[in-house]
Amino acid sequence: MMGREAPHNSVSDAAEIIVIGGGIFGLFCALTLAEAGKSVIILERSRVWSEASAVNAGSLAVQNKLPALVPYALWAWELWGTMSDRLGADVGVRRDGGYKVAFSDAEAERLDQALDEQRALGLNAQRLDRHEIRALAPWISPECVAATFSPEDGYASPTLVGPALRRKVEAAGVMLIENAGVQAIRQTASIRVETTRGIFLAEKLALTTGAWSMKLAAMVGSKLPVSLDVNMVSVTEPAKLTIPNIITHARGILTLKQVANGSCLIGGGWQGVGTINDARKDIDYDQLVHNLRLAMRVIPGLSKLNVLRSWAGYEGVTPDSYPYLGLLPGHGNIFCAACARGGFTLGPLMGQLLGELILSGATSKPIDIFDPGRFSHVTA
Amino acid sequence: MSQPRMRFIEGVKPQEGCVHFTFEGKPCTGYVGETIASALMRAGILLLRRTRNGHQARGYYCGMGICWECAVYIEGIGVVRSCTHSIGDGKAVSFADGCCSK
Repeated sequence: MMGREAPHNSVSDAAEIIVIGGGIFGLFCALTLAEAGKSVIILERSRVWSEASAVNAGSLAVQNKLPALVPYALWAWELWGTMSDRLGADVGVRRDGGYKVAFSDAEAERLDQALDEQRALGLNAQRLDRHEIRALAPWISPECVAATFSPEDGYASPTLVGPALRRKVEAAGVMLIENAGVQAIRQTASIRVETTRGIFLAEKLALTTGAWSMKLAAMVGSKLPVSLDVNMVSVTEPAKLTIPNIITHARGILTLKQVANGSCLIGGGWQGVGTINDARKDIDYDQLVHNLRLAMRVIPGLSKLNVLRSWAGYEGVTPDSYPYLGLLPGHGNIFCAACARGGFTLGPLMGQLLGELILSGATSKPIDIFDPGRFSHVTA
Repeated sequence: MSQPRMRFIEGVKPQEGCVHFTFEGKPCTGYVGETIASALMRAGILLLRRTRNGHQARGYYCGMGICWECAVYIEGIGVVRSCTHSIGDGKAVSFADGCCSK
């Protein structure tokens, strides 16, 4: 919808820090800043908690992370473990462990390799053979030849986290401006963000804009390569509570969990159809069939259930699949945190680390590998 | 692996008479081709299931097979959307939630 221009050229509001993007990264960044006494405005192009943060399948898995991200997933769990208390609402956090399954010897080898790497990085996990799987999780198919189990995997409900986090952020004094599409970012004495809801000023700017980050960074002349995944998720009708654990696959092509109402959520990064430019994110049924067949192959009992709905959501992906976190290349007061593989798991930590960086110039965990400038000299 | 089937809703054929079925054991009557939701509404039955979380009442809502709020369980068939599924003679219909434990 065009035409909702700023009513006049005067400034609508100002704060010490503007955060663009009202997803999980931005909200936790703003919360960290506000709790340290800073004035913060969040500018969100549509509604807060409406894209990847809201439509992902809620996995808080450690086993399916790239090895370098395993310590970060474990640190993020230090935050998730107390999330319901912190947000003052039950946000559906469960940590009953997860199975990562293999159907062939080649996949079992991948499990073994990942297990060694992840254990070296501090993950508590063990290898199970076919018989151990049958004894521990009889609902997994006997076709499954090997699995690793980690008690550190879990999940939470994105649907419950969003509203609770929003209330917490607003109670901390953060100003939330929704439907504020950014039209231009200008650097004068301060940073001036021109939006469809008016003009906002700040001393520092944080971009937590996920899949949109390449566009926002380009507005201030920084190169931040982001490619787009359109991930599909499906939900089944409620069934008898049977599966306490999260299920992932050796090749990273399945996530599955049974949530509190008995419904099973099925994901795994199977690709739907759409682009940011056409604002489209639709189901590709040819792909979805494979996603659902794989889920039924791993857990045969699922075949009795109807799928109620399938949907797709954007995920911004960096060239090396590590998130961006740090100062934008060429800038001293424009920061960025975006595009983690497993952004729901890592979001609270990434937002907090960005807040720490903006506050003090330092972070409580190392962020070198996340430098947003690491691809700025690569030609596309 | 079974493939999804196309669904064809015939519509009500009053001239072809009535079918008899039960909902939660209560005898009900419908027309041939009538949807389960329609027959149940005419029988004054609006509550079709309760949610697992919060035990809230659910029933006919979108009427076109999208929302699944009107899901019911048919013995021998499984969970169906009552708004788009014709009732068959002699069927035993019941609440759907948690059906696969049956």
